[in-house]
Amino acid sequence: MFGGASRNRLRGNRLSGNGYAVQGNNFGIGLQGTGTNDNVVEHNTITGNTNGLFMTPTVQGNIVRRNLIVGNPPIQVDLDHASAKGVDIKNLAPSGANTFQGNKCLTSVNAPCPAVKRQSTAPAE
Amino acid sequence: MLRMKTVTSLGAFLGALFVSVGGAQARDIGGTISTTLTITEDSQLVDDVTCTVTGAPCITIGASYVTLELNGFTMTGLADARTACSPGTPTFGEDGISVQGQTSVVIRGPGLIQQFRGPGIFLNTSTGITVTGVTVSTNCFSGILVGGGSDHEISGNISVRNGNPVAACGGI
Repeated sequence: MFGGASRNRLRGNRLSGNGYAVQGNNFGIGLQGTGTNDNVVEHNTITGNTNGLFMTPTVQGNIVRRNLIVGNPPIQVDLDHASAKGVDIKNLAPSGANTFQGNKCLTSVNAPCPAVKRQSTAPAE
Repeated sequence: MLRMKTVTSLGAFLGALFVSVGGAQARDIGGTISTTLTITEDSQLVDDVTCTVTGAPCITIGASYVTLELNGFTMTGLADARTACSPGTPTFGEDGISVQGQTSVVIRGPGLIQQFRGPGIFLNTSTGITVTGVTVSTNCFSGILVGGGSDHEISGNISVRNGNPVAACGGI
């Protein structure tokens, strides 16, 4: 999405194998450009793309929650195009400009990936 | 005589069924589309579509509150992201389905939109568009591209192997 696309909802989509590694910023889902704000990206499965989710520096107010974003890029792409540095979530916007909640991912830039392993349920001492 | 009448009726039926020229309303769509088909009323695919339109969309939705049902059929363009979009180059505007400046349009799958030199589906400065259940594959820009606009519901789609080596694009 680009050019000021706002208040859209992307839900329950499956995105796989998108993007050329040589481009560097290809993606499964992309939020790009000034005004691309206040969108909701939720419950999507994003695997095996050049980048999983790609967000440019000026986007804000977007909510990214409960997505499965793993395996971006595939290992062979990572090996053959190491300079492309693809990740599951590449967020180039400032911290706090967008909201990330409960996503499952392994690699990211400026976004949390907290939920890929079993969490202890024991209360803290 | 009866046989001649039957053949004539069948020809008229098929003529109405398959659309191969642009600029008209359409209800049932199938076969080859060689100039942009603009639809302004609820329409559906009734067969696979082969698009030979160059430099422009295959189907444009030219009115608000229109629903396009893909009915499990396939729309195929002129290139393939798997081969760097050859013959030719990625061509923005050579979209599978284009929605420009409309409101409350619905594009509903199942159905496959593949191998266009532009995006599979391009929603440009529109409002409240629904795209659901569609598979977009091997298009030379994003499978589903949203440019401006707002309040779209894009859900339950499958977007695979779209992109090109130059522009930042991808699944959605």
